[in-house]
Amino acid sequence: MQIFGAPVSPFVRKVMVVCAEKGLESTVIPVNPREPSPEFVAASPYRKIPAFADGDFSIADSTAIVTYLEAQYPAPALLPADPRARARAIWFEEVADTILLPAAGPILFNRFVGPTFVGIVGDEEAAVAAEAVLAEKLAYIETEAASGEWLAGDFSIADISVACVLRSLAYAGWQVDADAFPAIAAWYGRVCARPAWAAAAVQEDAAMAALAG
Amino acid sequence: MITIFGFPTSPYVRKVLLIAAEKGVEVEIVPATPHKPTPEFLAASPFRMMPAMQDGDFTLADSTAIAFYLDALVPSPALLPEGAQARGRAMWFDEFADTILSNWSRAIAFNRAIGPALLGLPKNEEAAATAEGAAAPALDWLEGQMPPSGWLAGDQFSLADIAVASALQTMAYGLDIAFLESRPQTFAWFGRVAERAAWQAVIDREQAMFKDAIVTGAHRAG
Repeated sequence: MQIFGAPVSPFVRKVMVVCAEKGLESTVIPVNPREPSPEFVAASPYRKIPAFADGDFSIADSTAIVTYLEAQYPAPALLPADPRARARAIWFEEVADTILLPAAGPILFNRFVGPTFVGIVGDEEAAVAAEAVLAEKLAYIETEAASGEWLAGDFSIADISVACVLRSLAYAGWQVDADAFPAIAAWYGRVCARPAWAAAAVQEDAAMAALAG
Repeated sequence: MITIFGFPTSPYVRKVLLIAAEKGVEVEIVPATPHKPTPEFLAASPFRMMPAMQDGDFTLADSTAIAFYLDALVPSPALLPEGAQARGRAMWFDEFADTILSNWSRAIAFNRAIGPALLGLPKNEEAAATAEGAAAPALDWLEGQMPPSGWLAGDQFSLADIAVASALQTMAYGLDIAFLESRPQTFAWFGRVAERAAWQAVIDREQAMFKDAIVTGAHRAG
């Protein structure tokens, strides 16, 4: 599997973790936004990361990639079969992608991506304001995380998607406040303890070190 | 009966109504708007996203999550194609419709037609024209993806067709149909979608609700 993008993106990491959970070997290929490779543009017409290739099949968008992987490599399943659990898994994936990440974005950008990759001084005020917005959104996750071992029944794409947003924030020095969000902290600990998550983390560290080098 | 909270001129709400209709699932539509949320809507949609859904004691929000719920509940006809590649492509089109096309659709339709008609807002031609300009490259890209016959993600009608057609239907509130006629493959495909019984039933209901909301002024402020 070829994954185009940088793993600081939760969407890129989501695909890496899904591959690892399914026992699929993957290679992370960096994308230069100023000079994107023809392979990347062919796979991602809107030049969004991640793009993905499995042999001669290529596709973009993390949700579409995960849908492909789930159909092509069904075991272990990362989408529950039960209608309610299945729907909740998709719901949490959407919450991670469209609610949590936009809330977390200014923290990640102003404290890490901007200063590190764009060469700008981050807007600390914007980052602090975003922390408050993120905390509001996490209050909902806290309630849900308190109700079981995993977010949508068995371990699923729900857990991977939400955890990937939190992991990206670690680059900005942000960590789950275990006093404010004890259920999230415990749940995130369970996610991080999974062998596939740990394997993807090693892969991520190597890819990020290569980017920095 | 399953309740859908939302208003059917929204591409996301219509998407769910179309899937329910294709599967023969009867739904009750309870108009809901993020700026005037009812307690029932808030309970089903913690972030005020439309649509939300209630099925007995189970509530859910987000059109794609609701789509998967309905598909797991009533598996036939299937929401997604059989093959893994076609399935991935179907989800890609769903995301394209939801995160790229629908943004322009809502801006065009809301500022020219839906805002003025339902909420009594002044037309905002500048915002609509900007969105129309921004939508053109996406529509041109889509035209290049259109198969000469059949459906967006392959032989099977799927979520891809429903999501993209729903986004275009909302756009059509604020645009002359020429925006599709000038893209012949898209126009022909849209015609095939519009021939479906489920599409016609959903659009008839939508138009009746839209007219009724104009007459009663139910969504206007104050």
